[in-house]
Amino acid sequence: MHEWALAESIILTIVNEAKKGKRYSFDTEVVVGELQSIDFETLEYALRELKTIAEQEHNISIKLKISRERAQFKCSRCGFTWRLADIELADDMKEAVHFVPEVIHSYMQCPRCKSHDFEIVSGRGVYVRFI
Amino acid sequence: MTAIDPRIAGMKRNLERFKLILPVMSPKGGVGKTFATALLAHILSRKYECISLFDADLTNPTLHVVLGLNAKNMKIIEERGVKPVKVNERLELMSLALFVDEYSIPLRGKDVENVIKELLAVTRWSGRILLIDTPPGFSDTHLELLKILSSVSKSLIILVTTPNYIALKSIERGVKILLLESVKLAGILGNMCVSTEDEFKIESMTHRYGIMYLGCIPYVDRIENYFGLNLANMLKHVEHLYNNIVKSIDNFTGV
Repeated sequence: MHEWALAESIILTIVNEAKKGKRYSFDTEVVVGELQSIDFETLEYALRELKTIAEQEHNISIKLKISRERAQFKCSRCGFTWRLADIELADDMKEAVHFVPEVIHSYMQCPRCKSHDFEIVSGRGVYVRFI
Repeated sequence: MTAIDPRIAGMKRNLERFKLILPVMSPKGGVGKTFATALLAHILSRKYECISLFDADLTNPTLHVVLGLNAKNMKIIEERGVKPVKVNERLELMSLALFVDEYSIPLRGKDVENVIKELLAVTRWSGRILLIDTPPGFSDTHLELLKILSSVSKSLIILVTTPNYIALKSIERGVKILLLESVKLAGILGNMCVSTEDEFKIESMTHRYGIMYLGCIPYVDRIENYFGLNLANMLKHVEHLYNNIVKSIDNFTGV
């Protein structure tokens, strides 16, 4: 699953931080952007499994909180802003956006001026916040 | 609170499996980088087990076309990430065409950076050598790739040019800036040469900068006739390239 690759990268990032800063305890928030339509259950399961292994292997403690971030867009041509919920995407397009969120530029246009030139303001993908 | 992009760690892990990464670059468009990349993949697959290919021409990916793949038939296969598309037993490809089919992909700089990171973080390669086809110019894609590759330190750039005066001027500019940054170059590969005089123009330029001349792919009429399975027919015309390229790689990898 694609979610496994993301979970592996998240845990690897924390392990790298542990090695770099000689820290042993991590309180983290995994922020998941709406645009990538991540399967929360799969991501949570993968993170739980990988976290246990990393904690044992590296003698660290990881607290993980997962939160969602709404996707918002701003047209670079006319300045209009909108949300993902304001538009409709076919299933095959949703699948492509799930893997590479930027392909939304091929499938979505500004609802006002029809331009494909817009900015993904928030809710693009996954990132980790260290609290 | 600090925010960290987890893809950086994933990308590094995925790229570390490669013995060598070969970006194919040219500041000038239309010199045949994509065709050269596909041909190089076939040449290298004679010596190395599996060659991975990454089409970094993000807004207009066409490497799959040269390799004889139809985007409509390319399926996304998930297995703890995304598996590259098998071209044949020895070649595999990751391309944005897998996700957008025949659409164009209008991207600004930040989006380019994101796409490169995303694809390199989730792709589960099986090759040991990675060839990267890049768009023309020296812009966001190239800068992002150079940044990423500087952290894995196994890359060797192949520059492509035609004997055309403007292409040679452009490649000289590219060489100068890359040498200033101490970027490692495999050499310069000529394309569309019709005479020994053409070859001499390219070769003498490489000598001026102390770069290896890798040889030249001869000009072929109706190049689309060599796409896909027919690429193998082209190999007999470029036999001379094999030794130079393998020698350049072996010098670098210390084989």
